[in-house]
Amino acid sequence: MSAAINRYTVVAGRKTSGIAASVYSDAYERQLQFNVEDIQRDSTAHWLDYIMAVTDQFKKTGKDISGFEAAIVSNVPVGAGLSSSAALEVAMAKFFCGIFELEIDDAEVASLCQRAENEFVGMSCGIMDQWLSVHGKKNSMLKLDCRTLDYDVLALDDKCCLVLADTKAEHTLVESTYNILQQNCFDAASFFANKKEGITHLRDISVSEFAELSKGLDEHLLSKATHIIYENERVLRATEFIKDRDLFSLGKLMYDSHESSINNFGNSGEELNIMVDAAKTIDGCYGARLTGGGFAGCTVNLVDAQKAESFASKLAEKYEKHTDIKPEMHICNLADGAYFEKK
Amino acid sequence: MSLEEVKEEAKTMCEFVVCSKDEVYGIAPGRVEILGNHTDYNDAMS
Repeated sequence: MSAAINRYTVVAGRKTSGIAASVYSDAYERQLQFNVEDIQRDSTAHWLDYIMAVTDQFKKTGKDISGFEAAIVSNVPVGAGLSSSAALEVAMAKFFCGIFELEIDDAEVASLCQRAENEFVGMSCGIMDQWLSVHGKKNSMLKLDCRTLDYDVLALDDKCCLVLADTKAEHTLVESTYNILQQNCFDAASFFANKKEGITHLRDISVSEFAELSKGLDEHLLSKATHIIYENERVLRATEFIKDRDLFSLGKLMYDSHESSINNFGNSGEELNIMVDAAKTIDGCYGARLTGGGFAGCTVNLVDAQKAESFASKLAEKYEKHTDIKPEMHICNLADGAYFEKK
Repeated sequence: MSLEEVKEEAKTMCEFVVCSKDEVYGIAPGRVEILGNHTDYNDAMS
């Protein structure tokens, strides 16, 4: 259950003659070049991997692209669990669609950017980040079936809003641990596949059959599977709560999800827990949990819209008092997905 | 920083650093999930 937010990556530039790409990153204050026809990784600039990755996928899928010049500016916080990587990939893909006059549907843009991250960057991410950046809808949450890519657009009650609280904690574990957690899930799914026909992923196990089927499963894998199977159920239940505008029940699911991240999946962190515990004590908060890969980055808080400013201020104060870290608060609007504009 | 401000900054960087006239903007938002943590690669609901 996700939403695009009004924090953006913008790629501005033009097509050039030849096969040279020249890209400037405002965040890193560097301008670098590469050959579109012979892409060679630059070990000194990880950010350029995402540009090269999308370029590589466009070439691999037979898209007619050549040289270009571009500048990249973004206000999506990096390393905060808000999919800054996906925003960069998708903005680049939309930029290519604009300058090379390519007609690529949104589903293919999302899929192409996911493959770019999987194959070139080496991060085995799912489709969700790129898909949301492409398909976001203003003022709405989107429920995505990651198997079929069917989705529901659910208007979020305008009496509430999302406040993102960036813990500014160290974020070193995400990339190294993400692939391990993913493999744990796949190993657990293999265990279940041997018990019942038709299971390929943890998604295929219902809450009602989980206890019976999980007998004999290694305790470590059991905890990972517990998180995923119940998290899937929480998304389904949240759909009804959003439709019914039942913000207290929706918020309770968010608290439950965070507890499961702590106790089952193991992807929370001390600062995230302090931020969620502090949010619980502040008037106007319906629910709070970590968002993104976990370990550090942001918490997402479902808050009474009338109280968002005071909530953000009180939460920042409480968090800083506990940790001596100054957090960054973002009161967000839910936004439309990616696009390109021509002058 | 609003979207218009991000675009204006990109336009400035493009013209003065990359030495190019900007002709196209590719624009993509970040995202947040309120539920559905690590469910995507499990083929589940997100």
